[in-house]
Order: sequence, then structure tokens, then C-alpha cells
Amino acid sequence: MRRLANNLPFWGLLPAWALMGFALILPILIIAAVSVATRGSHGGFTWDFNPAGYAQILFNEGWSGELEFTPQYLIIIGRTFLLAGATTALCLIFALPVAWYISRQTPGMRAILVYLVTLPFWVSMILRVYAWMIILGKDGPLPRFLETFGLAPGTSFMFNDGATLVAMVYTCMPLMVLPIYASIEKLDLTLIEASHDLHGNRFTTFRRVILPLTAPGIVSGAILVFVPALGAVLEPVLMGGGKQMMMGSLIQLQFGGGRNWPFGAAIAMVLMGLVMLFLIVTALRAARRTAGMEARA
Amino acid sequence: MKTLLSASALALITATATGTAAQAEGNLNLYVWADSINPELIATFSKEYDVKVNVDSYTSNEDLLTKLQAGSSGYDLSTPSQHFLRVMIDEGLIENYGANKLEAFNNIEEKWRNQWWDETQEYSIPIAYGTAGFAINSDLYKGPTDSMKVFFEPEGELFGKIAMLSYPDEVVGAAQLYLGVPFCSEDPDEMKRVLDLLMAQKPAVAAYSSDNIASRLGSGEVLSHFWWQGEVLKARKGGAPFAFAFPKEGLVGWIDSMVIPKGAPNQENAVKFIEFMSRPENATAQMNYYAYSSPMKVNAEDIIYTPENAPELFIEVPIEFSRTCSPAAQDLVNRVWTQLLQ
Amino acid sequence: MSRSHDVKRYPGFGWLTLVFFVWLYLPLMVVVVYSFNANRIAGVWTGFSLDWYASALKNQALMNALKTSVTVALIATAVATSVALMAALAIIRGKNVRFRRLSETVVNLPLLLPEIVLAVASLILFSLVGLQNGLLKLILAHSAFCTPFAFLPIRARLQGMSLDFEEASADLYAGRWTTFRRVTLPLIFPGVFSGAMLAFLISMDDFITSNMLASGGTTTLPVYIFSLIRSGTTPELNAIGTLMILASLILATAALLVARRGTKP
Repeated sequence: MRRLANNLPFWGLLPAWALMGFALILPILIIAAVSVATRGSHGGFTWDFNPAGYAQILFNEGWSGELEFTPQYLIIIGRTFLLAGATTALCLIFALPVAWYISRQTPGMRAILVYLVTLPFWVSMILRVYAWMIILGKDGPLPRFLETFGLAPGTSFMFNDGATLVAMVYTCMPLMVLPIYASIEKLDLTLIEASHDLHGNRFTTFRRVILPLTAPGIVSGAILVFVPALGAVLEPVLMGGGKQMMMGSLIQLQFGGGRNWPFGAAIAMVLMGLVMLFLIVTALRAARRTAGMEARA
Repeated sequence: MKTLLSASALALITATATGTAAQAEGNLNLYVWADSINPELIATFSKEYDVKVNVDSYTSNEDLLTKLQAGSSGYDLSTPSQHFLRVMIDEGLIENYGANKLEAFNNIEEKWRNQWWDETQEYSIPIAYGTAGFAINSDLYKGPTDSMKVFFEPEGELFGKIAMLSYPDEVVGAAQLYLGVPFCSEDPDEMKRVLDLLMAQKPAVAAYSSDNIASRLGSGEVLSHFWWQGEVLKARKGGAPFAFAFPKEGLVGWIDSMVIPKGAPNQENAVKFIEFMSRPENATAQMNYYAYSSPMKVNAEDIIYTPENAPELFIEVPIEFSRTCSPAAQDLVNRVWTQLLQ
Repeated sequence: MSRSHDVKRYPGFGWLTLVFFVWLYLPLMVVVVYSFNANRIAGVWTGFSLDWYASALKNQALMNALKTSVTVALIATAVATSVALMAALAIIRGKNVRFRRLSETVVNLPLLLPEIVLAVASLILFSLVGLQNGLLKLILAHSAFCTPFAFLPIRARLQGMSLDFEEASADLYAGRWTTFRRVTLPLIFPGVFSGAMLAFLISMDDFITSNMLASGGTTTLPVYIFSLIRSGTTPELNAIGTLMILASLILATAALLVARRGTKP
């Protein structure tokens, strides 16, 4: 029998299960329990079953004192998904050509470019967002640059959804570029050349061959960007001016000024449930696409 | 035993990883408002009592309350405002350290003793009081500031150039003061009026943000910012063209007190620190640094502020102190806030 | 083949990449440039000065926060990388491993959860367990959410690796441990190294969880920076940021050397 030294039996997984069990799964179970607990009068909670937190997402006492359907939390949830979706889409649009370009360089150049993509991580994220506040703000480099061309004098580009998006896309971008680059690098170039011989058109090749083949990278990049974007707290407040709440701030509010921990836990559970739904749908679509491609081949 | 072992192992790792070992007699972990304690006083205290002092900071009472409610925060001393102090006493989150038996108690100005937030003065010794209101950039805005109408129903140059704090308690409180609605109102009709006012103001608001205020106001990004008056004074001392508005409707007041969180690891050092901060000469140095009024006895001749250079500390309009709201009232505040930012 | 017929080239991609990098580095330039600014208020340039570097290194609170961050990041990286390495070896190479897919999902779980959920959950957990040590809380939480970042590169490296060398080693009757140390580990080292780097960076940069869990004397650098933003930051922070970029450049040189060694057969 051949002895293979490089494998580990099942106990290799025990540390991972122990760490994740204690620091991840247990907390999630607790937050699930808190979401159906009873709120304390000034924050905190008591262990009495009460599903009011979930009901509150849809129904609240109105100004007239009657229980009515209140769309405010649904609006916040919807807006958060829209922002995360827009961030993911923008990251994807920029990351694809950049990753493609990097993968076509010499190996040494590739290593340097990949490193350059990760270098900004070394400066604290808050400082990078702060730098954007300076760049876009009044008297910042960008407004001044535009002014020299006589464009939009005296404008500030801060405190709107655009500013939020700039910072979100900025902080998330490396997480999109790297996985896509990794999957493009593995591409079999003969397939592309074959497609080129068949279709002749770059765009068709891109759409019909390259895109499907790099799908795994795109999917993991999208997850790495979309999920953190859903929970973003800093960018909407610092860049967007905090005029419209996002789910992250809403959850934080419940554990702070709102003093309604079970409601905060309930929103967190809903956020988690929606993320799981998104992941399952993505996984199913990816699986169907692979199956379809195999069938065609 | 096991925890002791792991703790000491961890301490060893930390010490070797960072190259420092705590050699002081003891530790004192302060959890106070950002930039609020005079660092020279901390250095003096540290030397005098041979205590290593760590200073961490929070930026809102809500953050502090959440930390204490979650328990085992590891902090020895904190400085909540009066309406949160009351909650902390009621919820059993802070220690009764017999404040009224300390030397510090005799140094509290008479009128600030045994108030509703700590009737027996067993849990707290006050350290500073102040107000929240509208600050302006006086280089860029020359208009009137004598009424909150200017800010809550802005017209002309102020429109779109106003920023509010992102704390519901502060913003709603000021709106209540302007409308004459009592703090902690449980009347939905009254609170609906507050919401209507804030909704009408919203198009004129550039941002609801509690961060980076000095730069935003200094650069002219906004002309007016809801802020704390001592920050305005401190910034002006540093050369910024800021002024504080004294509207005839009055200002929202707060008073911060030194408390010891339940189960704090270094309570004795915390008490020493409270006594130290309350000595008149130190209270004076603290007031000069922090730029908020002191509820303690100070050496008046050493105070650097006068009505001319610091009108913020000699306020003549009425000051209304925030109250501790019932859960029902608090829910109304939340409802206003959520609907405002929905 | 003429250039215009090269199917691997898309015209304009080079320019787009250039724009991309300018955009990526614009904020970093702002951070670096304003670290030399004599004026306290960022955004207003008055003159060149190195004072902020001196005062940053003298600022005790800032240095403490940096120390806490580095301590937590180093320990969390060590834990996360070991856990991830063992898990990857078991998942990719293991025999008779049950729950392979489930295990992989569990290891990657932190990536699939918005951080705010995890932060709040850990806060409640640690208070229920009564865990007092602030540093330990941070290390536990950071180890957990850094693990997938260490896992993914190691897994990728392992997957693309052929078994030949290890089989040769086993044929030469090298012991299990010897084979692992002398053959497997050097082969997968680039993956382990980049995994560890990623874990370290993610830990250093974390704000949301650290802010929730920070307790007496364990403020991390991002939490400290955020508390300063309230009163307005000083260029001291830019100085620290610039020093971090420098540290990165030094480490990256090391990393490139390692990578070159790794690509050699």
C-alpha cells in the first residue's frame, strides 16, 4: 500500500470545526434565540419567548395609535440590496478588463500588478474613505481640477449616493479583481483561439467563451463584494451623509439608541436569511449553467 | 485556575509580542468621551500613584450603554451623561462607590449635588456640563442666530448647508425645545409634530453625521453644524472661525459624571482617580483643557475663559437638561428617527 | 500573427487598467502627501513638515492601539493559518473524510455573513460566557473571520499540485512528518504565505467587530482612528498610514522572493 504523507485524516478538520463552532455557529444560534426574546426596557433582553421583533419589521403602531402596515423597514432593506447590487455590478464592470489585462502580462509583471491591487489594504479602510472625503469635498483636488476647466465651480461631490458608491466600490474592488484574475489565469487559450476562428468577433468570443469559463471567479468575486456591501456601515454615513438609513446602521441603532435588542437580532436574522437565499440562487444558477455547457459540449 | 493559566499565557504572549510589560503598581482603564480628559492630568496621576492608565473613548452615550449592558467590558471608569446615568443606576450597571463620603463630594458645587440622576450621590461625581446647539462658521455666515427657526426652517444661504448630529436623542431633543414639546413626550400627536418639523428640514440638511465635524464646518462644506458648545470653543481657540448660536428658545443641556462600571477590575484606582480629578487645582486644569463648564469647585483666578473670549461658558438663554425617557417615549423618539431616515 | 489579430488583446483594456490604478492610488497619494503637511487640518496645505511622524511615534494612545492591532493580527493570523492549512489538507487530500462539502462551507461561513451580524452575535456570546479578557475576545473573533481568507489561497495551491514529489518521497521511505516538512510544506508555501498575508491584512483592517468587542485597554488602530474622526483627524494618522505602506513594500519584496522560489520546480 502506498503511504501518502500529504493528506490528513478527518481530524484535520477538528480545529476548524471547533473554532467555527465556538466563534461563529454558537453566536448565530444565540442571536437566533435573542431575536425571539423579550426586550428589556432600556436595552438588553430577558429570556421570555416573544416574536414581536419579527412582527415589527412589517407592522407597527402608527401615529393614530393603531397597528398598521409600515413599509419603512422594507424600504431600508430594499435600498441596502440596491446599493450592494450596484456596488457589485460596478466592481464587476471594472474588474473584468483589469483582471484580463493583468493576466496577459509576463509572470513577473503579473506578480507586481497583483501586489499593487492589494497594496491599498495596508492603509486602514477608514483612512482611505477619509481620503475620498478630502478628494471629493469642497476645495478638494477633484472640484479644483474641474474648476481649472471652468466646470462646476464651487461644487462639492459629497453627501449623495454617488459619493457612497465611489467609496464602496473603492474598498471592495480588490476582492473582485483577485478571484477573477485567478480564474482568467487558468483559462485555456486554445479555446479562445478556436472561438476566434469560428466567430471571428472579439465581443462574441468574450460573451460566449471567456465569460462562461471565468464564471467561478466572477461568482466568488461577486459574493466577496456583495455580502460585505450589505452590511456596510461606515461608507453610507461618512460619504452619503447618513440621510438614508442602511441595514447595517439600522441594526446598530437597535443595539444602541433604539434599545431594542430582539428587534436588532430579528433584522440581523432576516439579513442573514436573505444572504443565504442569494447564495443558494447563485449556486443553483451556476450549477445549471455548468450543466448546460456540459450538455452542449 | 484554568482561566488564570490561559490569562497568564496570554499576557506572556502579549508582552513578548509587543515588547512591553506592565510594570506599574496597577492599571486603570478609562472609557471616556473622545479627547475629554486633560492628558497632562493623566500623566501626573500616573506618576503620583504609579498606575498605568489606558484611555479608550466612545462617541455616544448609546455606545457606552450597550457596552455596559453586554457586560464584562473591563473598564474601570466612565463618564455618562445624566439621563444615561439614571438608566445605569436603575439597571444595576454601575457600582455604588459611596461617592458622598469621598472628599470629592465636598468639592461639588452645591447646586449640582444630589440631583435627580443620582439623588443620594452615591454612584457618581460630576466632571463637566455643557449644551448642544448650532455652531456656525462665522467667516462665511453673517446672518441671524437668535432663534432656532433660522436652523430648523432655513432659507437662503443656509439651505443645504446645515448638518445635524446622527444621534436621535440630540436632534429630537432640540426639535422638541423649538416646538415647545416636553422632553420624553408620550403623546403621539406631539411627536408627530416633531417628525413633521424634521421632515420639512431634511431637504435643507446636507448630512446627519457626528464625525469629522470640525473639517466639515471649517472648509465651508456646511455653514452650520449641530454640535457641542465646548468643541466650538476648543476649535476657536485653535484658530477656527466658529461661533455658537444662543437661540431664544434655549439649549439642550447635559452633565457628565464619573462612574465605575459594575465589576470593574481596578475600582480602588478608579476612586483614587476620581478624588484626584476633583481637587480644585485639577478641576481647573481639566476645565481649561476640556473647554466645558465644571460642576466642581475650581480656582476661579486660574480659569482662562472670560465672557468675552468664551461666551459658550457664560450662557444666558435657558438651558433644559435631557431627561431619562420611559420606554414608550423612547420608542416614539425611535419612530421619529426611523421615519426621518427611512 | 499581427497585433490586431491577437485574440487575447482587447484594445483599450490597457488604458482602462491605467485609469484603474490611478483611481486606486489617488486616495493613497492623498494619505501620503498630507502626512507631510504642516497644517493640522487635513485638506489645507500650508507647508512641508516631518513633525507628524515624530508626534505619531510619541503619541502613546496611537502606539498602544497599533500594538494591540499588531498583537491581535499576528496571533489571529497564526491561528487562522494553522486551522486553514489543516482543514485544506483534510478537505482536498483527505481520505474517507465525511462531510467534506459541509466542512468547506463551514470554513467559508464568515465570508457569507455580513460582519455586523457576527459582531453583534459575538458581543452577546462573550457576555453570556462571561469572558473577561478583551484581547482574547478579539483574537477569537478575528481568528474565526480570518480563517477563510487563509483557507482559499492554500486550497487553490493544493488543488493544482501534483502528487509526484510526495509519492517519490514516500517511496524513499521518508516518514510522514518528514515528507510533510521537507516536501509538501515547501511546495504549498506560496499558498500558505499569501493566505497568512491576507488574514493579517483583514485582521488589521477590521473595524465593525473590533468596535463592538473593544474593551479596557484593547482599542485597535481602526477603532482609535474612528474615534478621532469625530474631533477631526490629525496628520499623525496619515503618517502611520504611510509607514504601513512602507512596511508593506518591505514585506512584498520578501513575498516576491518567496513566490519566485515557489515557481521553481
